Amino acid sequence: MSGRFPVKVNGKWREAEISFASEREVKRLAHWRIPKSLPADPVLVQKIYDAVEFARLACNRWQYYRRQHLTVRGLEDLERVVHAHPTTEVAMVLIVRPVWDSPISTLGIAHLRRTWCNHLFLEFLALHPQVLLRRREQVSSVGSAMLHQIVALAGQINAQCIWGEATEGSHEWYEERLAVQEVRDHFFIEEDVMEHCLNEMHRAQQEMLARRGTA
Amino acid sequence: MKMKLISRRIRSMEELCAIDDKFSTVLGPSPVAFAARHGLKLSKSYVTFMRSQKSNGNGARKIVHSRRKLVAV
Repeated sequence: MSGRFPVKVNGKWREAEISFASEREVKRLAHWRIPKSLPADPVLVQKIYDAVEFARLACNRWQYYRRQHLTVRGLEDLERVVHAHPTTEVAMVLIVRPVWDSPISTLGIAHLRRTWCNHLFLEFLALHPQVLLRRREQVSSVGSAMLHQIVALAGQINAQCIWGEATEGSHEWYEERLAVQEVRDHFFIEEDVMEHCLNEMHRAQQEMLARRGTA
Repeated sequence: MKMKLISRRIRSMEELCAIDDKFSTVLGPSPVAFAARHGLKLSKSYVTFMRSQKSNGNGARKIVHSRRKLVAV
């Protein structure tokens, strides 16, 4: 899997790329660092600390699966494993990189598990501290676009459901983002919600292609 | 549990971008919950940070006065 999607950078539309992370890339997540000068906003500082900690935990968790040969590093790899062992549980990390010349090499990551019944469990999704900090570049809509791409991945492996945990701080975002009535401490993206997400993703990609034509 | 879609209107990227600006951060459980769930250790720097968040400016632990007790009516 290697998809491109539009993100807004300093008010202009650019393209970012999402793909499965290689072992080297996952190991590099443990090197995410807290910026030397932190902003005054304590909420933002908490988010930056959480993002760095999540990257480290994702690296550890992925390596735990890696030792048991239960990680996949590509869509073909995933399809092959699922075909050979339909009830196997595998872990994967998706990584987003900028396609433009950017001082931030990784924009965000998502840690996912394909469960025994072919559902996707979104363990977490984190943005790079420099994306949160918005000092080097102001990059937005990475979170939305990553969610779109995860829905597309579910479609590609014929997964009927994506589920995950919503927190006190994120449940409203999920409600708005997925256009659903109520999200409490968990969410299920399936059937019409999944279809709606895919439609919005296609619309975003059409806009991106139209922009390429005019550029 | 099935989630109920409230609108099928396909939103533009500008609209989605505006939603994303409200929450462009980490999605998922807290690192503490994630680490506990999967038996992972938290890093020293994160534990230090969490401790500092729960302390006073001088580094001492915040004191909750035990005199404030609930009174049954």
